[in-house]
Amino acid sequence: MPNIPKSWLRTTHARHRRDALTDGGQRGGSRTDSERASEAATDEAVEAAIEAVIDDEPLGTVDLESSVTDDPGDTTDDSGTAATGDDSTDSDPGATVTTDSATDGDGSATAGTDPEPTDENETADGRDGAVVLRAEGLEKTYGSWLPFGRTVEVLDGADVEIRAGEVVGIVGENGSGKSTLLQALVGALEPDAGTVETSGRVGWCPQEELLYDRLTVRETFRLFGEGYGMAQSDIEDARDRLAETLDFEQFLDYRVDQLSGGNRQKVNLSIALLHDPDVLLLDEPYTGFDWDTYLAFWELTDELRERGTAVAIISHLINEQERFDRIVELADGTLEDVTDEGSSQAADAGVR
Amino acid sequence: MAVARRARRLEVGLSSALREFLREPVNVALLVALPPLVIVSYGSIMSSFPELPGMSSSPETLGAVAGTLFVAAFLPGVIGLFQVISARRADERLSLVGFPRGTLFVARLATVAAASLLTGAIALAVLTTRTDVASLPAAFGTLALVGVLYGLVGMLIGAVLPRELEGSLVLVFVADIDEALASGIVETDAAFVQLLPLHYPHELFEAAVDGSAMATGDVLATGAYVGVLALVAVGVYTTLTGEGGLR
Repeated sequence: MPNIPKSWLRTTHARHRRDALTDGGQRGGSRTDSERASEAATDEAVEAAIEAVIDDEPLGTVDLESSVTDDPGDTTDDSGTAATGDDSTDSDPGATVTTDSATDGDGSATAGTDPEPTDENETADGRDGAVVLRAEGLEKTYGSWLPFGRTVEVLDGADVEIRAGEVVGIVGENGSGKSTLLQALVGALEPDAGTVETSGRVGWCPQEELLYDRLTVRETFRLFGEGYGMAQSDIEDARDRLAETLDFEQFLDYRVDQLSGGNRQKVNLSIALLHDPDVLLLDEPYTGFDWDTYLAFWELTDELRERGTAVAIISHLINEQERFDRIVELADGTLEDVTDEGSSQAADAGVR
Repeated sequence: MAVARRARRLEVGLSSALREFLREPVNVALLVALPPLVIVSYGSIMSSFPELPGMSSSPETLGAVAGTLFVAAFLPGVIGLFQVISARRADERLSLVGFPRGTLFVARLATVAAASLLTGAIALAVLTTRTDVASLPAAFGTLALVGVLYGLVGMLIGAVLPRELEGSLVLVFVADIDEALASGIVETDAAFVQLLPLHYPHELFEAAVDGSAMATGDVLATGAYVGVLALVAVGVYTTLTGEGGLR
């Protein structure tokens, strides 16, 4: 058998599938449940075929993860360094954080790999894919040390589990704590209690664009790419690919404060995608997008799903709930799977 | 490999911080315009004071010297404050993706140091139009050190009180009182005055201007102050603004 990397096979399959959808004039949002089920079955069959091909290879002849291919999502450098971040050490005895990222002591984790296959690869409800993010018992209360300050309990034992290759929608009313949840999941906020376990690289697109106003888009990518520990050529490749996909190539030399809101959001999202994360957590990522970019975003999400990236998206758009593999609703500080019945907001609006 | 990566990150961090600073024209304009204004104003205000026995120079000259020291401290202090506050949230994200906080701090401090050199040079140039300066290198070195000292004070205030208005008010109050007490305009026997940032640098600067010998104790105390403050500032900055690492 030729020396074919698994990631290439997956990407090729994703491209074929996308082409087929485009040829048929269908987009994710207009597919019916039966069509989605049919596609899922096809996906499973192709995945199984890929696995079978790979499994036939003698060990050592196929380097599944580090092969440099035409996979546009592969941004690891020759040393394999791609992910970042010190291993988080939680000083809060009530909360525990673990990650399987190995660090080199310089704030950079060594190459993230596909999550280790475990015996938890399939759940009772038939979902497959390894768990890449698991949070249990998350609690967070915002207090105030000032007199007459208000104490707000936001998370009260929230549990969530996200698997490779699934797109999860996180819904909930305004102020229900969705952004707090996401910040706790990525490590931007320490929960008062609970545990978060991740496997592989994590990408985070915050709701508010956290960028440097007076740097150009090109300089912004360079700075964050250095943060991720990426080689310069990988930064440039990923930047150009994302700029083409989300259509902001012509703005690469603009300062961030000279961009429109929609273009700033494109950069904000692209920074989260720059290092080709295994788990992607997006907080209302398409705010300000025009229709074409919105569709391009979902196309990109489909591509990521096919490549095995786990994506969690905070969404308020009840009419797009069919785009998600699963929907969890945050209410009263806890998360509940509402995939079958739909969110309470959707129910209130008479959708589903 | 790790050393090369650290060096590359430092270079990218430094160039980004400097670009951000220089691309805000108001920053640069203030650095150039404020020193003459402050120094001339201080000198003019003090010129109305009577010349008393025991004064080393005329009141106008003493006022100009005090104004020079104040502006060389205050402007880098404001820049340090805004360096920390204005990009705080973006810094947190950058740190979260793995950019080391320490490197970020060094990049910010380097920008403050560059601003200190610029302010010190302009302030000294203005002072020379008002009075003779016996040792220009010593005077410039002292002003640059004062700039870094107050740049650190500004970064410290910005880390503890991350609000632009409130932080600026605290900084202007601290710098004003500090210089007033250090210059002897407000006379006090309180021992705590010796702990204020400008106490020893003021002695050094006066010596540089009038040509008297610099006391070794003043040099050592100023250096120690900068060193200790740098350690405190980096500790507070990295602690309060969070340590990086996406899960």
